Amino acid sequence: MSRHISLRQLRLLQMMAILPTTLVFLPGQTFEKSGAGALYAAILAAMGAFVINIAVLWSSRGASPGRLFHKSWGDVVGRCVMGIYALGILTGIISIWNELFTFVQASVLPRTPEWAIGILVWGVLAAAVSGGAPGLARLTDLLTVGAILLGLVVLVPVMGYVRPVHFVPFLPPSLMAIGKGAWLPMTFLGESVVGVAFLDSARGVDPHQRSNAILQGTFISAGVFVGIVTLLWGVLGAGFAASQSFPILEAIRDVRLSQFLSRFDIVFVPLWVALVELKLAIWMFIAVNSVRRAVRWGSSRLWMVLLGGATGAIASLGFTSVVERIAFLKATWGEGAFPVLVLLLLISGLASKFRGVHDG
Amino acid sequence: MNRNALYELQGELEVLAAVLDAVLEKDVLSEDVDEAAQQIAETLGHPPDLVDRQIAVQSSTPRHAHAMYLSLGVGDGLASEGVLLPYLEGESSPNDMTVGQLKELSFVHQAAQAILDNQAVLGMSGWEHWWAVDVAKPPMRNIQEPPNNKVVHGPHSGFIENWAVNLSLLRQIVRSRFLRVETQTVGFWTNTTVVLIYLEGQTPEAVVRWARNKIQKMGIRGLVDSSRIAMALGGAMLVPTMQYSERPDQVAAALLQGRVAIMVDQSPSVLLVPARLSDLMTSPADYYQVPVTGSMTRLLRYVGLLVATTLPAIYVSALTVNPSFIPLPLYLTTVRTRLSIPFPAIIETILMLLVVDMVQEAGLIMPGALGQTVTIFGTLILGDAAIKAGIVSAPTLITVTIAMLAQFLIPDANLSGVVRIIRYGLIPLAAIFGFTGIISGWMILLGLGVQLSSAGVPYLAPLAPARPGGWRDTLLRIPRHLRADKIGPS
Repeated sequence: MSRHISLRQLRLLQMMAILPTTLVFLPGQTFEKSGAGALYAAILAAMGAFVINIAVLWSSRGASPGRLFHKSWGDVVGRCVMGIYALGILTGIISIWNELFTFVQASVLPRTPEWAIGILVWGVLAAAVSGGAPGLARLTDLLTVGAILLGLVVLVPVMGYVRPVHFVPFLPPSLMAIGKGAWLPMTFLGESVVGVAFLDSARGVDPHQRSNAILQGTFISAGVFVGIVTLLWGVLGAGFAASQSFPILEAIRDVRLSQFLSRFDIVFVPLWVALVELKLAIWMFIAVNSVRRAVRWGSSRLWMVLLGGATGAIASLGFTSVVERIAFLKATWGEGAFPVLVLLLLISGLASKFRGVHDG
Repeated sequence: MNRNALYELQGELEVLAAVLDAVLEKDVLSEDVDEAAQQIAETLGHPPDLVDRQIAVQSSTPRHAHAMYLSLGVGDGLASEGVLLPYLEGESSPNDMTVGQLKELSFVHQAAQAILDNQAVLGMSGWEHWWAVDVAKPPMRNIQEPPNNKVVHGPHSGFIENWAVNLSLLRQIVRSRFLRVETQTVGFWTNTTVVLIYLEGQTPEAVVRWARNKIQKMGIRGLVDSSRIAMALGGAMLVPTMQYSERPDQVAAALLQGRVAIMVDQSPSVLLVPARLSDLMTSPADYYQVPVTGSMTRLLRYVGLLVATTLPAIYVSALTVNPSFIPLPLYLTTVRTRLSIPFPAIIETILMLLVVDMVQEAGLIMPGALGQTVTIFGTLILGDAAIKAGIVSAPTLITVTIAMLAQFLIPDANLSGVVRIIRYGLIPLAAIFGFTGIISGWMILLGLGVQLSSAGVPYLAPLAPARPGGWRDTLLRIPRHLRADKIGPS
């Protein structure tokens, strides 16, 4: 198997590292904070994320965090910084587990406890991560085709339910609310801090092109997010959307092709479960490699088992309600891990620039 | 040590001694033709079908000759007119034989092998060497269409159990001087001819090298069919990474696509590598239909793949974990018919699948009309009786039957077997986790599937890794002038 991935795959990997959350989790949070200003919050988040992504990609200059930290800080400090980076990613992984459990509870209503679903998804992660970056890239290829096809099948009928009367008030009611609503989406749309880990997998390609591919991936995800928020505003109205954890599910459930087929969300739910499992696998791959680089001990398989098991156990056993899960996500990822990861990459980029080892 | 073990040891030592003699070239044919003929007969163990014709040659100096061959392996006319007659008429040079290729023999093992290859060996007093002449005409069946791969339009010829004939059939389609044919002998006990065929300039060198090296390094004791070589070439345990074909037109098309064909003597099945999932989902008949019909058939096949693997799991999931996902009237109807069924949905479905699989296998093993009887009895009568007796419900039987029918859409028998295993694997996941289990099961399969490769080509290509336009001859069947077809390593 070729160990390299193409620019297209790099772009799609970055997209899939963001998109599942963008589709399901972020719209509800944005409406909750911003109400009728959700669309403006989404646009502001996309613009803010664009600036962050450009800064992060300038800092990395086509190098993965592993190489960047080593160049910037030397061996020992570089490994410590790598360890902090891995911890940040692991925090994000717990949040993704939480997203998965929350959504599965809201949509599929399984009878099995979360830890059992966790074990099942753990198996998925082991299979997906064992293929390395090329395996994940191929899986992403497949799911992207599926996502586009199913996305069209789901979104086109939903568009028929858009009511212009819902787009009120068209001017934002409160700038403060927009700012509040924009923060969390910005931390997700700015996840080039994750995608940069795949930069080394596209060896043989110009570093500038690699960075551009990552940027394009984030840009597409931001576009999808703004589009979804607009669609939900038109279908549900800002007030109703703000009262739902997963407004997209409600919008899709509004689609009734006939009395016979009343649960149209059956088309969307499997796709999203698959996408979030892929996202989890992408992040887990990065975490496993980061930890291995930091500690220089153990095989990928061992770390996959340990980290997958640990994060899954924390997420499935450590929270008792959806509210707790969402609060954890905001506190750890939005206000903790994401800013730290951005700072790590920016400072490392500057350090390498001052030391004269920056490729740029 | 018991007596049997001693006999076995003795036999093994004799084989070892013979092999060593051959390797060290110590089994030189005697200068005396009678003695040499005796050496050859002894090496072969004096088999009853060995013919040893002695000829008194009436030339200027009277000579004595032996012609040895296997009675049913050579053409009588060829042997008598081409080999024996010239010497009966007084000729005395090896070049006087009027048929086949001549090969000089110096050692007993060479002569024995030539006879086993259905050649005649000839030695004459006064000659420095023995000679092997190709007069092979082994028993073989007529060329006919493969019964398991018939087409309405298109060629109706099929391979038989002789590689030379098969190669000739292939050459009738691919009349190119760039067709390369490499032969190797494989198997200590069987000495089977394995033929590697490819088109120079069209097949990637990496694929040819892969196939050549695999065959050369294959440590195999005996080769009785091409399926053994497929295993020895190191394919995946579960998933077929080689394609079998008994059709010359299909093999020719594969060669034009840049693939390698591996023929094995005494096997009508030709192996094609690389074999991606999309190749295994392709039937030669697709190309003998108009593109729209061909595309529809192919799409139907992929839908069939999904239905055959997943429908029973969805049924179990909908009845046990996620009833809200199926329309209420359908759910109520299904539940009403299942009220008197003593088994839970998962047990009922698995039992029905097992019964249908048994009927299918029995139908395949039983000859002709009897097989049909078994199938009809098993499906119609048994199914009807089971419903009337209240052992299985009609929706379960319908689900299982649709899944089985969909399985028959898959053209490759090995892939069809894999579908069956996936189906059984997804049902418990569906019963425990519902739709999440089915999706996660598929994710595990895809996660492992994307790591597979066949001769260095990704197994799920051109979908993963996605190749622009790859769907044109994968999911659909777009005409050749609108697509690019060449296979390359990842």
